[in-house]
Amino acid sequence: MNRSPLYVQLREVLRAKTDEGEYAPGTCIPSENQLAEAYGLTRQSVRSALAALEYEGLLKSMQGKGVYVTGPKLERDLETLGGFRQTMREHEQAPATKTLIKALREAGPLYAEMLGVAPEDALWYIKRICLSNGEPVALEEIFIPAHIVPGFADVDINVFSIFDIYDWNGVRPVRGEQALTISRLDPAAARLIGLESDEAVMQFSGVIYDQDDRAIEFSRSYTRNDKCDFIVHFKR
Amino acid sequence: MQTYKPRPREAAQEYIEAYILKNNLQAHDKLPPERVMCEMWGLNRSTLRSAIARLVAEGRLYTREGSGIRLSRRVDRTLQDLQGFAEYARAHGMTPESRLLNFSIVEADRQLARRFKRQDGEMLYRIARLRLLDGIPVLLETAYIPQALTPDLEERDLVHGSLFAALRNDFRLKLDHGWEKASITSATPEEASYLGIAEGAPAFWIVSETYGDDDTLIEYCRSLGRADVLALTSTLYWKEGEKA
Repeated sequence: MNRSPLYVQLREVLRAKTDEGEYAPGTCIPSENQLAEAYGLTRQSVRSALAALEYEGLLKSMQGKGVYVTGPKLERDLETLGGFRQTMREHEQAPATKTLIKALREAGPLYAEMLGVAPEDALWYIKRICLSNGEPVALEEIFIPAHIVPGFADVDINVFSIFDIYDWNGVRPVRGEQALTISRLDPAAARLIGLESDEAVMQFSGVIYDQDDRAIEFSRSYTRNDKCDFIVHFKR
Repeated sequence: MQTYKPRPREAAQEYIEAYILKNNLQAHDKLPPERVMCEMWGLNRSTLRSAIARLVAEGRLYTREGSGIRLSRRVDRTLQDLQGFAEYARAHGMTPESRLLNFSIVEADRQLARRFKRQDGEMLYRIARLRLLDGIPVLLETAYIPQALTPDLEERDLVHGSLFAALRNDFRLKLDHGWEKASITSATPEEASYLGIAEGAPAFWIVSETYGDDDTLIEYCRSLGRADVLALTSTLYWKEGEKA
């Protein structure tokens, strides 16, 4: 019976202990030395296991104080339309967004192709930061053909959700197709959500279709990995 | 009314991506030479290069010395179906391969026992496999299955046959529902060497549970997926009676 290397096992043990609440959020886990001794590992191996868990956002190391267990991450579901606001509502957190750009632009060749409009048609372009408990979680870009949402100019999208605005315009978002990939932001964009430039983020890209199977929105968001997991349920 | 004009680099990126879409470029297809792209879209060389660098960082393109700029391979994995890896691969014209790294019978520790709602010390099969598509390692999977549900699983061919097919056909288990959760981790040296990526490189961390129609947990699986190859896809639907 061969076994995984010990530090991989340690990672699984620590992961399970945080998952199951034996290590509660906010508490400090045993020191590197204690873990090394308890599991018969070198400090280097312990460090390797801790680094992976820090990367996943389960642990956070505080200079000179030790390694702490962070709170539960948000779970964004990948089966229900409703976007960030719905995710937040399900977690009983007040959704907040900070709009950086809300402006009209020309569709251009790419978004024309994706949204089935002419390259010279107007799109609403929204760039915003999604916050949870005041902390940035994601950077989001949304592209909507302007003719789909007349009156969009006058609506404060920090107050009303884009789904509200579809509703007022008789547009029913019925289906979305999304893909999740791992990506990196450029330094300026990374700073907007409080990241160092070289950290990996989850990139979510998707198109939403309405009751007439018309593409009504393309969105792309970059989510901090230490703040949010993505989950999907399936049924045969 | 505020208007927005994409910055030159963003515009260049959009031209490239539109070109890929319109010409239906596939994995490893080549983009035109830089000079040609600059002329086609009226861009200067440094703008084009910075757009290409962004698309490389996002994993869309890759460059090889002397062979130009090419479209990356991307494997879409649908999170919502119970299709096994091999079935998915064949349906998409790819050749699946599975390498059995470890097959063992382990005692459920407290955490695993609690997860499976079984007694501490009950036996579980632990199956570690490396999954490859067209020869490229894509996923490193470790699955746990209670021995009580699948006695003599060790006698099945898990390298050529599908595990899910064996569960369904040989053990008459009805794989009914479950969930799958994705986040990012960093690969340890051993994981990195199996997947052919750099040590510490970001990778998908995917955990899933698959239940039978009587709500018994049949399989618990933890996978590490190549970030530069894999995309996790799903279809989202409007939930009636909910307002976002």
